[in-house]
Amino acid sequence: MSTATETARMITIETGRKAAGTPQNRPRIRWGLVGLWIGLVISALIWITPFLFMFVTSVKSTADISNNPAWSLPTVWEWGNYAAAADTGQLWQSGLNSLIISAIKVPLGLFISALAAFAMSRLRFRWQKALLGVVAMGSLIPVQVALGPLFSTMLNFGLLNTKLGLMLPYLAFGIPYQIFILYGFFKAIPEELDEAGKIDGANNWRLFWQVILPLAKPALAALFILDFVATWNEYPMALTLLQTQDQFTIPLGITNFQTQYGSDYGQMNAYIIMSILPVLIVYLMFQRYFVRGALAGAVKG
Amino acid sequence: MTASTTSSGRRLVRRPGRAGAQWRAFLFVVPAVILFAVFLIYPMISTVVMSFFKWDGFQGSVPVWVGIQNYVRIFTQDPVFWRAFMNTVIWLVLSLIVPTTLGLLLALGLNHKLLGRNLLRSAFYIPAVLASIAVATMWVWLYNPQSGLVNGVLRAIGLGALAGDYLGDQSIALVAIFVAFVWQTTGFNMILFLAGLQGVPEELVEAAKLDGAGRFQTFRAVTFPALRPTTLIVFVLTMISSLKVFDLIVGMTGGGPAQSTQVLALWSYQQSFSNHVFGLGNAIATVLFVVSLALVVPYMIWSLREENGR
Amino acid sequence: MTRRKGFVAASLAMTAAAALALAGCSGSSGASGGSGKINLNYWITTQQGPAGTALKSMVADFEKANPNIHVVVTQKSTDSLKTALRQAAGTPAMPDVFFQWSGLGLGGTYVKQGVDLDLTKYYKQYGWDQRFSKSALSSVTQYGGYHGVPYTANVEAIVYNKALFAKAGITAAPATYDELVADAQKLADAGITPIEFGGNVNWYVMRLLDNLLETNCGAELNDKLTALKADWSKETCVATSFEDLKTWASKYFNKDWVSLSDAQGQQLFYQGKVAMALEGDWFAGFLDQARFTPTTDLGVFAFPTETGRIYGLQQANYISKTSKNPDAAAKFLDFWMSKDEQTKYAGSWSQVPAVQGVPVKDNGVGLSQPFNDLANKAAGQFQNNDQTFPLDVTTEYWRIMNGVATGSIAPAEAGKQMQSFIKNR
Repeated sequence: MSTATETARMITIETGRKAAGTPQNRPRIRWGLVGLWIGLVISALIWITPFLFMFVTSVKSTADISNNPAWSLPTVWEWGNYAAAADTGQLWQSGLNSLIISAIKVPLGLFISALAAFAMSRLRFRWQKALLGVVAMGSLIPVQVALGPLFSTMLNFGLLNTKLGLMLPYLAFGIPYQIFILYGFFKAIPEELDEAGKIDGANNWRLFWQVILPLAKPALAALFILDFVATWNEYPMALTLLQTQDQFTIPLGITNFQTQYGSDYGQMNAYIIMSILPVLIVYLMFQRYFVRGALAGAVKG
Repeated sequence: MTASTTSSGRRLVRRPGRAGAQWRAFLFVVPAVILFAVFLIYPMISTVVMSFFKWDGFQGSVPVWVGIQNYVRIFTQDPVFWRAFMNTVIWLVLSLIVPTTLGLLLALGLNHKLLGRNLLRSAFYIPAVLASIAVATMWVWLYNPQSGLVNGVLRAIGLGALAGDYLGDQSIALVAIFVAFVWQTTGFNMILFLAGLQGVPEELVEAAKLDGAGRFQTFRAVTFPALRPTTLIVFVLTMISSLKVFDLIVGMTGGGPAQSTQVLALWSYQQSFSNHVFGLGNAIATVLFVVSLALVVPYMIWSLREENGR
Repeated sequence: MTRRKGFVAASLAMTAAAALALAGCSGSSGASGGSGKINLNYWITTQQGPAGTALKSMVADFEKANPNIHVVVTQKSTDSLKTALRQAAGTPAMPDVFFQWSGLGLGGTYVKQGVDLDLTKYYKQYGWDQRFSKSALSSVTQYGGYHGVPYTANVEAIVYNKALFAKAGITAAPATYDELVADAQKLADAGITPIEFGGNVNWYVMRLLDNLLETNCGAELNDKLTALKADWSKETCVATSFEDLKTWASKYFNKDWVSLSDAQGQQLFYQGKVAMALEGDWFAGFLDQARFTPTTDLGVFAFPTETGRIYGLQQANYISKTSKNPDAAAKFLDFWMSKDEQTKYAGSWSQVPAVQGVPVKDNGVGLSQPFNDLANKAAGQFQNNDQTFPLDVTTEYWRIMNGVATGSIAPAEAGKQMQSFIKNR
């Protein structure tokens, strides 16, 4: 699809929207829209009920949780649960670990995937299609399959219980679907840009870095969110490869609340709420890329 | 026009130093390929190979060759395997139907210019941002027979007869977990469909309406076909992730009660890491992988062909 | 162009440097920090309440007395500890000291694999033979030589609410199994839930089934069955036990027990809604934390198996063979299990002292002495089956148990399924 048609389409969509919005055209639809809006709001409220419930539980004392009904407000507001949870779950240490791992792994992974996707979509070399197929197949591999061999490998490299040892498989597992999405996106970028660039004397690297990559910003932003979230929340590999408390990531902290004998629900809920805040922040920062249909290019790919 | 030149690859002008270009292109994929080979391909191969051995997981013990015995065991003697297989299939089918349709409906609804549209979209999407283990913990609490919200609400609105131990009932526990899954993933599908809807040609929609087509007809004739690539992506991603489902189930029931919510990925993990019977665990993982290939690959080939044909 | 290239090169170099730096700041185990300081790595299950505080405090005491030794305690959930140990066994990742239940299927597998160190020399050096109680000692000598240092020797029995029993017209604790069932029926008739369980954790309901097997099969046959040396499909007591289990589950368990966790089941007891709980001596600690009142309502009686043996389990700490500091490890364990430290923290880790001469310190609920009496009176001990069975047998045992208890497997079928699994493995 050429950029010209693309642009035309975008404009038409915008105009069309504006036209549909003007009140004097279709009064019937306005009622429908109101009904739709009400339905959506109610659904959304129901949808976020679990969060409210969690929050209410997180400020309850153990006595409240066992003796009073689920949705009842706490008799005593145990804000202390948050401090206690941060301590039991070693929140600051785990948070720092998760942050370091995510902050390094996510951009690096995107970079590596973009490099590969660029090559596969624009540069001609043998085994191109086969490689794409193999990459796609790689996304089918369940993480659990890799745990045993991963442990042995990391042990042999001396990388067990280290952040680097955790990042390497994270990078590997993120690659298939990132390449898949970026490949589609890059493919949609017209070849003429390449030609123009090459005439100007740019080599492949410059083409990649200065021409293609900036165009892919929306897709990269969307993938950034997805990957950050996935990395932050990853559980099985962290469980296997991290051995001591000081290296734990946030999801592992949840298991601190499940002892041999029972669980403390007030603290656990407090911990969960605290653990999702960073991801929420990242999401809220980048979410406009979603709203703008960031994945549109890849999706049409 | 440009697409065909790219895929054929032969009609382009030869550049000087073609071999050099090959080598440079290769450099681009090298980091990805190395990571991929060492941390994805190698473990998978190791798993398949080790599925023909018997091993108890101790670094010091030597694996014993048993040929296809592990496979015979899981297909004919394992009381849990076929239940896990069935549950995986049921989960797959339900995933392809429910959260996808729901996501599409939400996307259609939230595509209109409505007040607080971004807020509403975020409300539906935010569960996808949570760690699965957190979602599992939340929903176990919600389903608690005495103090959980689900039963509490049912009793409050007079449907107390329906209140019960959902996660403890072998016949519906899997569905109960699935509800949590829908809560978690519908938002993501909604986002993808929203992206896809941006590409629906508005002028065609207008034209259809002027022709007197109703909402549903417009959808069927214009919107849905334009969403095909999006639907492909949603289906493929759903298939892949539902075949691998693990976190929610281990967090909510651990495969119980009495292994009634067991699925292949979890059973494979438990055989290896809980029971320390790695041969069986690897065999089950291999079966899962083969099944995944058999389902996803033909679908992807078919739809890629469709796309190239256009 | 050069500037861009430079920038790229710089960023790549920075990434590489960061990666290397991170590899350096790992939490690698066993490395000694500083001058001559020894790091001991200790892995244990997640500790809660008084047990956790006591552990921290005891470690601090030890480090003060031995300033050149630093003990790094890592707590893991029950399942991840088992997995982590298995993965690390025989490799440098193995901790110096690790906790395990001492049964054949758990601690015993490490002994069989040669993962732990035989501690005979330390038993002689520190005189541990004379220090521990009989049952505690048996847990470490059962494999020949000395494997592990006892940590606890717990007993399990039925804790009951005397007031609720009185309400149902029961005047004395049951002495036979039939009396127990009759009492349960009386409670049910009086509208009181007889016993609580949390089905989510498998090992809770298992305690009942284990006791039923002991009751119906007798001590000798029970031991043969759990050692997988008798035929589960042929012994009639097996079918009877599963029948009994089904009866208990359908008539006398708390409602909706299947998906409840153990903690949630126990809540019901704390709230005075349930009359009995099949628990270990650690339950005294839980009752204290839950502020159960009045404590005079609490009593305990042994499950009436009529074999004279008490139900229980032992926990121990093992030193790994690959540890670079076995002497320091032994010193640590000797300190922890010394009469002084055990007396100082009496009642924190167990109500039944594993070390002789340590006074029974009641933690305020009044159950400590009764539990000790049961332990001392007993003619022997039989263990929780998830201790004795190999892990995969335990998984299958639990599946069958849950199936029978929820009605999806017929009691008569249970033994057959168990035996065919044992045969096929």
